[in-house]
Amino acid sequence: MFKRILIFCVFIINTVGVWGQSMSSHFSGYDTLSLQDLMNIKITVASVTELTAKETPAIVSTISSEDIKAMGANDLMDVLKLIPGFQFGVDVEGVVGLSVRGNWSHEGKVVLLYDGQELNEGLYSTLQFGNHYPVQNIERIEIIRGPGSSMYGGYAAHAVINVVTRTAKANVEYQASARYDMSEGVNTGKGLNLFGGVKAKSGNSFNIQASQNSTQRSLSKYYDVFGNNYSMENESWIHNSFVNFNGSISGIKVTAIYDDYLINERDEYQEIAPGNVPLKFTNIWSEIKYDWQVSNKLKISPKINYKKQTPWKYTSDDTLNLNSALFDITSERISFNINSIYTPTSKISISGGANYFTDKSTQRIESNYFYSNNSKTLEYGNFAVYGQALFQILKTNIIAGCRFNNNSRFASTLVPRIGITKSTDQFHLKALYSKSFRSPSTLNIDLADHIKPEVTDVIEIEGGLRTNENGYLTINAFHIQTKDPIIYYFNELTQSDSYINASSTGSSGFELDYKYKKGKLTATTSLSYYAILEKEEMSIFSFNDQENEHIGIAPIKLNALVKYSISNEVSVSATLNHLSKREGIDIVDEQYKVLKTKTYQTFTEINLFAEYSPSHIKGLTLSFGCTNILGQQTYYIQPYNNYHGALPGLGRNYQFKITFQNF
Amino acid sequence: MKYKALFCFLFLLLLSAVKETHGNEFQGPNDDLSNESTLKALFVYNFTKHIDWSTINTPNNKFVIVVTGKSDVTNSLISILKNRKIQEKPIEIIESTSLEDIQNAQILFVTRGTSKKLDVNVEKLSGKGILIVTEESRINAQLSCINIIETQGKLSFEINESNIKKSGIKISSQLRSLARNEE
Repeated sequence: MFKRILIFCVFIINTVGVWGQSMSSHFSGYDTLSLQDLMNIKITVASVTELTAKETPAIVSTISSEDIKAMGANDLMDVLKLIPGFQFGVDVEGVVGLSVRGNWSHEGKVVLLYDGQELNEGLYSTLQFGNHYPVQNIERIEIIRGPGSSMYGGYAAHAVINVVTRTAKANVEYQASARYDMSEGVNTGKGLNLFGGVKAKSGNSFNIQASQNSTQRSLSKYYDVFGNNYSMENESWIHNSFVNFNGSISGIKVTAIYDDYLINERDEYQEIAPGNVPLKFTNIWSEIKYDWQVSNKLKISPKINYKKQTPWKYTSDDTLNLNSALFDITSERISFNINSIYTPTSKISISGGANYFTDKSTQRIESNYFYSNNSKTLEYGNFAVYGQALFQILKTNIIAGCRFNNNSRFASTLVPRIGITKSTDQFHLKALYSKSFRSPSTLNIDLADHIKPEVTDVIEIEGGLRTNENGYLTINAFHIQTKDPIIYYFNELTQSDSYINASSTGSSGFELDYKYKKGKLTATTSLSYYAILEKEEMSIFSFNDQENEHIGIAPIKLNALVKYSISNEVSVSATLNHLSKREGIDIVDEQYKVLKTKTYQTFTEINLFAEYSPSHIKGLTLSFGCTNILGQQTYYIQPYNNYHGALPGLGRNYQFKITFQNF
Repeated sequence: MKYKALFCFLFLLLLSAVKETHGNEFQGPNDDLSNESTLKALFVYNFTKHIDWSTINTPNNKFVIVVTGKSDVTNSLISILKNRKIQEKPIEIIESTSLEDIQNAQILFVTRGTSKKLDVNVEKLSGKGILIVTEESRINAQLSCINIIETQGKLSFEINESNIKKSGIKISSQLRSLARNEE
């Protein structure tokens, strides 16, 4: 597979490179645009549809490609761990997931949009982090650190991560980068990332990104809850092949993504497997979209999406060492969407649309059937309408919107949102209320009799203040309460996995963010804090003796990113990720009674990076980094009580990277 | 094997794109070109290619653009003109309404709605080689040398010949031919 991608991309880069050379003599950026050209370009009239981060009715973080470079990031997890309120924990079988503001958000509560494609898998609606979702070709990441269901649907109860990749901005552009990582004298990672794109004056463009990355999760020993252990060195390789294509011809936009993610693991469901087990996620996403500019005031965008995924796959060939049941289910979704934006005046914007999709899942192992219908296939349909209106009155933005969701397998949901924001050069204020929901996933529906969507109420307020001409301080407070959370349990009667709606869970807290920029120095620091709303009786998210925090999620998190350009050729950067103490399971007895919990001490990760771009070799950049320079043991703790030991991460790690690009 | 077809498809698409673009004049970085302030900044930059300041004696060794009031155009100008030169001079862009700054400028960009607040006697700017660019819905007869206007979602510009003459600068006939007729 990797060879095929490599040959393909090398060929493309060679091809576009030759054309680039032949064309570059004609190109000098904006100089090629004459007044006549400029007079033929349509403008988007500044309106309330184009709000700044300070005005947007949501708590947001925006990460630029420069930030990503300064973070020394190799994958999306390296970026997200520096976002206020975002932490990582282990789910099962070596899969690491995300928690947001103190709540485990792994199953269907955070939506990841990668060039508009919803990357969550279709069976449990999870995202899998660690050497996954490459960042080398990302232009920016926009993150809503709060609910987004009214616009983004049933996977956006806690957060929305919107990744926008780079596209060629002028004739032919290409980039190639390679990396090699080492820790304790052994190879811990390697990768190759390639990008090529062309853009014609007509607006037609084609871009392709291909990458192959491999990383060891850890070199440490993993201990399960029964006290057994194994060394993860060479037993925890994670491989990812990722290809992303997008093109635009006469206003018709096409996107296609291929993703093959393979985790080698032994930590399994609860007990350690006797040998290495490959766990596979294979995904294809595709989209065709057209932006129809009906008039200056109205745009209508119809699109069709198709995705096919085979997540969490164990097949017979792979499972000689496996105790768990074989698992091979394909999930397909075809989705029809129409979205419109109407801007009658520069002070009013109304957007809305409708979405219909069908999900079809198919058991591919001969002896396996779905529980709910005793069939090889499980299908359902989902219809949603949504809309929101944005008004600007007295330089204050007011937003009101809602989404209605109807599914053939579970109850309908209506989630409204309202917000008010005001911004000046010196300060900004936001007050927001949103209802959001989590759609039960295919296997939630299959494994539970009458599962309901879980509904979350979120109240947020944010204030920001310019401290001086170089700094801006932002603080927000949030209150999150989820009713009927969908939780996993093992049904002793049927001896099978199951899901139920529990009573409630949630958190409240604050996030503080300070940005400073002066001359060649850029710094961002953030502090986040949460506490659980009340003691959650019989909750799988907290131990009985815990009053203030959820399992595995640190109440206090401190992050920093500092970058300094020493010269035009050399820049250095440092990042900090500090977590306060966390609680996790340590030992259980044979009846799975928790005998002992463990307090994991504070964790401080400091990473240093240096970048050298020699002026005499245009386009070349050499990077060196040392991550986790203090060598503290990283742990991904399971943020719910399901008898999984804490999964170790890497200690001190060195990375070398070489990049060549023509832009 | 099953993805071979996908790769072949993507490859053919890319090749076809390369083939299609061959022979065309490629455009510059234009992701933000639909942005009004970016486009206006590009208009200003293009005006300088059609204007002759050589007859004006300026003590300043920089090409100074003054923008009145807070405006996104300032950021766009900074972003577009970074590391460039106009009239062989490095460029300085400042936001100001003070007469002292304006008198040293080669271009004065008067942002929308600030022309009335501008506490400057225009007569004092006569003959100093200052191109005054406005962005009003109608040309300001007393102030504008060039007025950028928006019509049907596109930008164009008008020239006020009498103010051009008063300023002491010379503009090319090509610029005149592209302007909307006002006088």
